[in-house]
Amino acid sequence: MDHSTPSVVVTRDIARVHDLILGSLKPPRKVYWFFVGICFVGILYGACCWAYQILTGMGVAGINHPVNWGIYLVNFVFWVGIAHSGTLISAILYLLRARWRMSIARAAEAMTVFAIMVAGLFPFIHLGRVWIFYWIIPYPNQRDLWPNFQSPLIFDFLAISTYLTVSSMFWYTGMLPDLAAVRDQATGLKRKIYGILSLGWQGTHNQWRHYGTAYLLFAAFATPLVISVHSVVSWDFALSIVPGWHSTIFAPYFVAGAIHSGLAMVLTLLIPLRKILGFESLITSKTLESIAKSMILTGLIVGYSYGVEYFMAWYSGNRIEWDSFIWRAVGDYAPQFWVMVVCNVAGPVLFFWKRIRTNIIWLFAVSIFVNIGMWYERFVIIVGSMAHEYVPHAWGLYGPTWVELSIMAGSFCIFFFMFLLFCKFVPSVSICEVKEALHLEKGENL
Amino acid sequence: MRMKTGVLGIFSNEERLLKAIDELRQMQIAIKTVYSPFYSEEIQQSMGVKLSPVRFATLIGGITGLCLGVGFAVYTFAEWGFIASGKPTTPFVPLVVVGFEMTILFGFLATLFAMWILGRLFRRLAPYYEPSFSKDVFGVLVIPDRFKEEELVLLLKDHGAVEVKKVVF
Repeated sequence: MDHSTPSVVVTRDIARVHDLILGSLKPPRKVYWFFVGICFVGILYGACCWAYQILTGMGVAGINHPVNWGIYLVNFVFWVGIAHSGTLISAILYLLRARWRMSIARAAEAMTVFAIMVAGLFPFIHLGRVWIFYWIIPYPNQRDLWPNFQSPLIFDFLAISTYLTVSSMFWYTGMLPDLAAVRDQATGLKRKIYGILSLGWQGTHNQWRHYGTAYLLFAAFATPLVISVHSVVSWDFALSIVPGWHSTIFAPYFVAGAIHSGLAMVLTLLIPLRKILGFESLITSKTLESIAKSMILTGLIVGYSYGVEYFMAWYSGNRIEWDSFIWRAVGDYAPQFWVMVVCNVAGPVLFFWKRIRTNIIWLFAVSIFVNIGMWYERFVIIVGSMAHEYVPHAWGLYGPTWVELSIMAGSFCIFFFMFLLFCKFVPSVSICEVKEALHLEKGENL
Repeated sequence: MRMKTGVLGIFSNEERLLKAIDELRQMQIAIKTVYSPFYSEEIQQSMGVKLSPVRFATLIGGITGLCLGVGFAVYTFAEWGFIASGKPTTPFVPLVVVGFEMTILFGFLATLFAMWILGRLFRRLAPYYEPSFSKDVFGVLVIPDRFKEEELVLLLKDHGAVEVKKVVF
């Protein structure tokens, strides 16, 4: 493997990059529609299960006393976590001028938008009486009662809705020049559709001037927002008095975990994407290696957080807290706990070896393990803590029912369905940024 | 409406375009627009543009969001007037979260709308717009105030324009 390969190889030819990326939008083969079809059927199945739950009642889900937050909220936190790295890669690396971001930022941002949309579904699914969801929106009802702005659930509503708005518009704005490029190459109805989507972008110096400033400001807004959103999600737990939840470490712990899972999902999505779309020269092995190196850092932070949680539970002298943590490691949910530790901490440690982090199969395998581990992390935190609270006679176990598992499968189908459509209908690598990078590299080499 | 005329020079190379812009500016020829397929700091500098005023919209939006978020939360606390454990009815800490999220949201949206308005989006493409401007070529549109169109055509060709067109807009 050539490790001296620059972040963007190709031929330093702007036109060729343009054609290569737009070439990925050619009409897809039948196998593509086959996978789209499978995802669509999965979505329908998940929707039917949700309809069944609405018609029958929440009894069809496994959530009950003492575990009232089951895998619906596990999935909510999991998908919010996945949504993190897209904006992180795009915004923070943009501010840091890390050029390896440009070939993966678009797909990572798309991942963010789709993941946050899927995450947003789960509070509604968990709500049961979904038709009164609007009670959480701030409006004066007939009793003149407003939502309680001291509640972390209201913080969550504000943070998630802000994050969805910001990340989707950040993604869309970044795409405007590329949508114009698609428009300029298209004909007929396709040209009209992309013409509307590109909002009349022409690439004038005036447009680039305002776009450049606005994009920088978007990145500056998105960066603290990324940190705040998962901190707010963590406070859903940390502001309660449940042992295992009531911890000041939760905000940085959740943020690190979210970035960890998001990076893993970026690898899971990009490794097949670059192969299928022929983007090996754009999304290079060096780019994937940079993601793997980032995962070493986030994995170690996550491992440190696991350790500190145990230390604080012991050091606090709170017997209930300590008992809850001991039970996590040796109790009924011990298998899930150890899957979490091995996948999230031991897996990324393998990336210390260059041979492993530069091997595509290893990268893909570890990314899958981290995804699984991060799902179990949320399971252990949410379910494990509620199952083993203060009073022994109120302890109880939880297992998801087929309805919950089906809705969860449907959520994965929604995510992959949207990502598949994204890959074929908009440029999955930012054309204008790759061109700009080529231009800058040329300038540096002169 | 009275039609204006201009001369559009198309360049395959940014360096030549930059030299042409410098020359045109030295000769005080009005440059209406420069087209490029990607963001170029050099083009911005050679056009002598100032920093985008989008920043002010961001500031105003952010401050507005902060005031609205905090103001709304304080108003609802006052309306509710619920005393729990003798604590004040208007606590400070939750206001930080509400104020922070609303600052980001309004600041972001103000930036977005300012970019749309100042960048003159949502308009029809100029009749002389070349589809290759989004691919790999650059363009410069000049307005012949004191010069004849033919003189500008020759000037642009001398600076390496691959094609020069007389346009009406």
